[in-house]
Amino acid sequence: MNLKPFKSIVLYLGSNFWAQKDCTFPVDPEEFIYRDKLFCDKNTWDEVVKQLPEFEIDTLVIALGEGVVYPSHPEIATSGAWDTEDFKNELKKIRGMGIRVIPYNNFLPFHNAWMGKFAYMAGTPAYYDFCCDIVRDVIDMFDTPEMFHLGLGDEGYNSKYYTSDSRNFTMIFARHIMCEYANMLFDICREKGVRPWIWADRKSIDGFGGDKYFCDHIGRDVLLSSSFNENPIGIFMKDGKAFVGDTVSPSALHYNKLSEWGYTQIPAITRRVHPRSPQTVMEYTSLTCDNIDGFIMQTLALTVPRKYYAVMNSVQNLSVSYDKVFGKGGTLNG
Amino acid sequence: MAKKYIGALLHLGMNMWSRREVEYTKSVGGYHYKLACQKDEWIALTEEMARLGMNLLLIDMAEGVRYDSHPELAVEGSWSKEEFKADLARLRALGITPIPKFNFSLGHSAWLKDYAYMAGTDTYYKVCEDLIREVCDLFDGPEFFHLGLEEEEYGSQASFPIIFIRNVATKCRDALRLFDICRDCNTRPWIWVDPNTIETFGGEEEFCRIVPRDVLLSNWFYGCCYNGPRMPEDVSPRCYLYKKIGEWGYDQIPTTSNWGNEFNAKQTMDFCKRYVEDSITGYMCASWLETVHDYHYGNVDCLYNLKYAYDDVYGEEK
Repeated sequence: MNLKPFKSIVLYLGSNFWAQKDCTFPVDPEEFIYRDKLFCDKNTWDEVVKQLPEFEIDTLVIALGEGVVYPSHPEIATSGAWDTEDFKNELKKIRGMGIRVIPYNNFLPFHNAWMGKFAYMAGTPAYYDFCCDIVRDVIDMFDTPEMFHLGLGDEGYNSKYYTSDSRNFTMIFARHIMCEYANMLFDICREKGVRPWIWADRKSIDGFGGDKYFCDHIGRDVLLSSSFNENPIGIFMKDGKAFVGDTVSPSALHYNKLSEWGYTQIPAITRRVHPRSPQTVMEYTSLTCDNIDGFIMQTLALTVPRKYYAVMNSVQNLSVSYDKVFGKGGTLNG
Repeated sequence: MAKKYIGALLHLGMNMWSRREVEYTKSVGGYHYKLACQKDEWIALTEEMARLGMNLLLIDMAEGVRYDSHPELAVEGSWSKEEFKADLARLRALGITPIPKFNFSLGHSAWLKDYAYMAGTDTYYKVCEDLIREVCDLFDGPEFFHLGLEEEEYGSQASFPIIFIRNVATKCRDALRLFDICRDCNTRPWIWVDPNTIETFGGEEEFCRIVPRDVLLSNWFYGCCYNGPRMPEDVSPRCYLYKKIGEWGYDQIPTTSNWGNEFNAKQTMDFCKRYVEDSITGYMCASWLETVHDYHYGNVDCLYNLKYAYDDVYGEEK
């Protein structure tokens, strides 16, 4: 069988990844605010999941957050969070549709409002114990998934979106703490035979201490996802073909760098930059990088009725883009 | 409050980007030798618009129809005038006002085939006039006629094999000529504006001096309108242009999109309602996606985005 990269999409069960409690996210206060009650709508969830096989999406990455009751820490569950057993049954149902399910939680202190009271305890022994408990819980709930996306990346201190309007406190780990913390989480995954997966765009690498520090401290078994947030036309493409040249942007060259460092990548794509961005990222990375295992589509739209078409827009874009680049059928997972 | 137009731009023709020398590829687009628009998708999207209560459809004409005056502009699959006229009747029966759009920017002219490079000749101006007159007749005298005219500067054409730009005086002269043809056909001229386009008219002051106030303007901006709660301090310059347009005395139809994020439409309406409500003739969304099955959800998402925003911002006032 000719194996091709897998195609995955993020679906949000939890949504407290952005604004801290009592703060609003300035860009879209309606959506990215902290909520004490689960925002995910089950009907919308079902409607999206039901259509994934039609679009040949083979991997569903579930952003958990506060959306499920964790056996070790039921106290962080929000009102309406899915019962553990119900959630496991949902996973079983999705697997029955031929879709692989992968967990995602963002453990970066920047994105951890979902942790409830623990979000304000980063750096304490209780916090580290809590994170380890959650990783173990999730691995159990998912019956030892192939991979576990641990987040751990974003624009960090420089981000214009994550300033005082969305958070009262910001904690940023120094590079050695960040790497120790990450490796603690990676090791729990490794012990269970689960492959750790993190965000790794250029600014995220800076959060790990820069190129050399990252390479020295982050194992090559860790899967990396770097996103591309520029208009791809004219950067990736020339005469209708992907190319590497002087005009290629640093974000594009970053994919090549991660490849040269020896990591396996799952490039992050989004239609929110340009509708053709997913397709060109697929084309560029598959032509110029080694070890592309798959692609992860970031919808950045929550699973609620009003965002149904936004989510489906991403689903269809992923599917159509992939087919144009790789043809239909037969992925690593399928 | 006068009833507002709320609607969308859909592409019947698609040869507005790139050049005829660039053959269409799945990666970078290019010139379509065959009509891209799929009719069943066109019908599905317009019916969805009607269900959402939308009342305006701006139709990107280009190579979409075989014109009597210039059949040489047609491509394989271009609709006949009879077929198109029947569709106009269908749209009106749905409560949607169809409005024609051509793009006469030299940066969006591939649909004009060889005429695209003939601006400045009598032939070119005659073709423009023939097409406007014929299409006004086809639409039984549309209320507006969108003439495009944006993205003509070098930056917008940098990737083209041939770059073709008018100087300020010529651009202004040609625009005024097109406006006059529209008026002569009893239709109101409508154009895109954005900071770069205003520069091609000689800058803000010149634009305000040259472009008459009966010309309807559509600023288009699809990013974050504001990154903080303070208005207008936190408003991006591209969004702030809506305020300027209103203050300059023009009517406008702000254009939103789901191109970059999900909240552009609501932010745009919030801002415009607060600062320039009197200038707002309506709102329009543009996904800039082809009218094909592969982009069904992208197009529908764009419509819903505008509808939800309108309900939120205008609610009971509608």
